[in-house]
Amino acid sequence: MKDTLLVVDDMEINRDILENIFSDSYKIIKAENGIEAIEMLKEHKESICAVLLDIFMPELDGFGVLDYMHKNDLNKTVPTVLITGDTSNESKQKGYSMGVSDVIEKPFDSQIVKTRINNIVELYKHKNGLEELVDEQTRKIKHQADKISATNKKLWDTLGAIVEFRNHESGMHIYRVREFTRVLLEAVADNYPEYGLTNELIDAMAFASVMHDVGKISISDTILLKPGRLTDEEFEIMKTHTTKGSEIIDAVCDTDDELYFKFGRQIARSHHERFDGRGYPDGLVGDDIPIAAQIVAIADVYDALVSRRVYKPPFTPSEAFRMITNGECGQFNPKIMDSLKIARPKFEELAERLK
Amino acid sequence: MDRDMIAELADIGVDTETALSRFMGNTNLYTKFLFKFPADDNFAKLKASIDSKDKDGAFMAAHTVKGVAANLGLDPFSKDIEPLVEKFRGVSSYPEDEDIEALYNAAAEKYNEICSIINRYAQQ
Repeated sequence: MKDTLLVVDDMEINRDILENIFSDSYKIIKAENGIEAIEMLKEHKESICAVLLDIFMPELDGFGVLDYMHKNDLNKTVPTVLITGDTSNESKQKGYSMGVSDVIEKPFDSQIVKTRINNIVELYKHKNGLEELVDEQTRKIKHQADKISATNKKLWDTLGAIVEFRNHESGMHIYRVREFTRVLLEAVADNYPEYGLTNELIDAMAFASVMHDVGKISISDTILLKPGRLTDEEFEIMKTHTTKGSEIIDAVCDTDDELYFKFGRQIARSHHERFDGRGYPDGLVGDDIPIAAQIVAIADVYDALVSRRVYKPPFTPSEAFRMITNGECGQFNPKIMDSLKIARPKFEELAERLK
Repeated sequence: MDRDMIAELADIGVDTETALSRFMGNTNLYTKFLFKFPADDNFAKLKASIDSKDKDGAFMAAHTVKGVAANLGLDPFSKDIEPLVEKFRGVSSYPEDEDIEALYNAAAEKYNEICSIINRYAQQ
């Protein structure tokens, strides 16, 4: 509770006059010099609502007190008024430059002093209240943003799972792809710093990978669930799940305020591109393919190989590894292939654990 | 009795009206500090500092006594003290200025006049 005035003056008469003026509205504490004033500021800083400060004093003068308040950030919450017999402009300017709220010349008119001090105290009360309010609101906004972010993530997971269930799969594929993606990204980050993969980016990319096949929601059951081989015409339709996927994310996430929106779009559209330009839908070549999409492409292929599908039995992890690295599944970035070799034990451990 | 003292001081030019309002109309508090005025040693310190050519001591003492006098409305005295304060403000060495003695003497005359009234009532 800020209800105390600190009166600092070496002259008893000045202290008593000020006490007499303010004792009906505030608690008054008094200091005879700058050193005492600093002691009282330390002890009562929570309750002091203003400092009435003389300039010329023994031990330590008023400027010394202002200096202390400035260094300890007290001047932001506690107003200081110089009450001085020194009428020189130099002193006033120095005072104002050190952050005093007002300068009152002695001898003063008590009614005017009373009004001016009360106004300043009220002003600071209001200002301090507003600052607290802003801090409080900022905390609330942060909390809400975290909540929204968590809800967004849940929505993405759900959307990814829905697509997979429609595909008559267990929902585990997207989670395995996410884990493979993370492990592979970490290996690339360790060995190829030129990709600038920070932990934050890795988290966002791995999370965004759940959306890689979201476009399959627009593919008809007769094609999506066809047990046999697709005709050329059907395959052309199947390929559109990439462009449809990025369109769906565009429609759902019309802003870029989450990193994973951007990566989700890249991954959905480009996870069937190949390093030599023979992929689809855009025929991108090399590192024109976003790194997030290059990584998810490998994670996706790897998981498809080690999983049972209606048209094929599961391959063993070492077969899958060989088929990817020898180019049977299309050509991938050699740097990522090196990283995959490094990450191979972790891939095989994951494949076993998430079977 | 205190009111008589205040009336007597007003007669020699003391601005008792403004001073009393400074004390929020509290006559007791005003009287308390009027009685303390003759006992305050800053005017004596001023004389001693002038005699020993101590510029800093002179400034501090003159500044302080001026402030007290101004608070008490002792205008006839503080008007003479004010130029003395300015003689010593911010000087790098003791000013060789004949006015200082003349100003001091004029101030001392007013000081004695005021103190003799106050002391007469203080002894009662």
